[in-house]
Amino acid sequence: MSLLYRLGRPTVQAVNALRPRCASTVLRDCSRRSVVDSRKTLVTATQRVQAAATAQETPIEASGFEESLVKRDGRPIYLDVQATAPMDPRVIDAMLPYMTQFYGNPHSRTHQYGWESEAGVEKGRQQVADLIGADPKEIIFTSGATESNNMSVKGVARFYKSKKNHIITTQTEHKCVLDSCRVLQEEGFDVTYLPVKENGLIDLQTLEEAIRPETALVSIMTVNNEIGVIQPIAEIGKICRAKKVFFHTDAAQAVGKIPLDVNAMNVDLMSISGHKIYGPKGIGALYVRRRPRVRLEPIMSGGGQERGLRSGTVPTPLVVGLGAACAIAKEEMNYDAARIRALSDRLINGITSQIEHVVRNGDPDASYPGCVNLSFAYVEGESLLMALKEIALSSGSACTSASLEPSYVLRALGADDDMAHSSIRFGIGRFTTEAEVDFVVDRVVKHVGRLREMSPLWEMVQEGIDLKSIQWAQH
Amino acid sequence: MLALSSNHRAITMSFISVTSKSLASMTVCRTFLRSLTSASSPASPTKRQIISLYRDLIRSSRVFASHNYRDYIHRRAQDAFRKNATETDPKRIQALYERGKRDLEVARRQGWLNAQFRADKSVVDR
Repeated sequence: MSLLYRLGRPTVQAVNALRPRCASTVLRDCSRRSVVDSRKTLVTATQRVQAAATAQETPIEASGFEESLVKRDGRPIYLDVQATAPMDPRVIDAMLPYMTQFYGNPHSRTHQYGWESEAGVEKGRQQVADLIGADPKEIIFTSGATESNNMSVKGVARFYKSKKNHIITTQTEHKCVLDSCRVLQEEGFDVTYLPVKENGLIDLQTLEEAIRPETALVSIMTVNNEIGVIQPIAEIGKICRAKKVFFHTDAAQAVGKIPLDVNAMNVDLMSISGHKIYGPKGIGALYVRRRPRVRLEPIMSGGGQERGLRSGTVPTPLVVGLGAACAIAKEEMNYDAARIRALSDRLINGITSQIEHVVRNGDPDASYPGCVNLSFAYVEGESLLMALKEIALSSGSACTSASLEPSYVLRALGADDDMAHSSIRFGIGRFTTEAEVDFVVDRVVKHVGRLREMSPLWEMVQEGIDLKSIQWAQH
Repeated sequence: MLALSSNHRAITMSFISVTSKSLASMTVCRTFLRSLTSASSPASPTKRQIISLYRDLIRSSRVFASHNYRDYIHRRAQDAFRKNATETDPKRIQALYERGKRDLEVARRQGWLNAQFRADKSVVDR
């Protein structure tokens, strides 16, 4: 605190900076929790980082980042498309008529305004269904993948609870699936959280053994949001169908990016999100199989829209946008995939050819190239994120980016704490350019080098000391 | 004064990039043209119409304030014309032309809209 005052007159900004956590406290916090128990050694490193952070006389905003510094240099490059993607101009163009002229309630059956909107909604439903090989009648519009996941996990479990009381999921699922399972556990359900292998994929044998006669649902995500691994959905679907267990997959990160077919893959429920496929936020869909019929207990009660599974007026512009996004994704899938693969290779090769001790988390082959999760050994992830202020990145899921805990997904992979702490997710999308990737490679190489330069751990590694062999003093 | 001169340089830079872009577009058009000479039917659009569609699409991309969209539309138009440069079926050419015209309308509208809500320039866009 006194440090900040010493920098100059206690202006409004300086006083404001005292209220929220300033950059140096954040840094101190994360290094305290991280790497190893080597508090003694790390304090030196922290002091050096602190000195560097306070050297510049810039006010520090509530976010803990020096926002004015970022603003001066221009808008950061957006490399966080797993959190949300920019909307495609074609999607906005499809939506605008329904936000200006065609504002009717799609459930109004008595006038033209209602019919126009209904036509838009049904076209959107058809477009979503076409993308995943489903029938339009099997598509339920929701507010997003979180709601779709909640609906399927809780809905199926509760509907069949008189006969079945067991759910299977994985340790690397999205928080909304895991949390829904926790709620069910409190309601008396038994939940198996399958472990994943070191590459992030589940073991099919383990899954098969975990299925019991009283298992109601298996819920396994298609593409992981943090490490991008693609689970063997078709094989899982086959096992579930053979054992007569419903299979739900959270495909928010997969739909429109990799080819999916609910019938070929024996998927019974599939969650879809609008804003991950360059569509609008606040809309998603749930595919619910009709034959053999999957029954759910609805979470929302009301007017009985969406086959009674999700009451509430369907938001026409958002549905039209989701439909357009799906149609574009279907048409552009090959083009986008080739481009994202090339950019992804450019990024990975650019970084790994210039810096050592970089680990790619998750299976390199069975993964979506647009999600690259790298761990930079001997570098603290949060410090690197702050150094890379010209790039909008995240260390993992946006839902947990406020906490400094290492990602539970990386922990489930068996990653050491220090490696889980030093991970950064690079999200490449439809609108990412070569110039951006080159810029990112340049900055990452520069800052990883700089941060390692001031790390005593890195010094020891350079001297050939095996860090694992060191007995750190206990405090 | 300093700001003025740096601004001046930015303008010159953008002019250079425009010229290089239009040069690239000319090459694409020429390949497309060569393929078209063999297939001409009353339903097909004329060479002039196709060149003008291509030019309009490239021009429409420049209106976007966000460089990501600008680059995407430029690149997407170029790749689409390149991919279909060998197309000989007049019906298909007609369909592609109609499609391109619809996309041009979208690009023009959305470019205008995008330019209405400008944000700071990206760190790579200067």
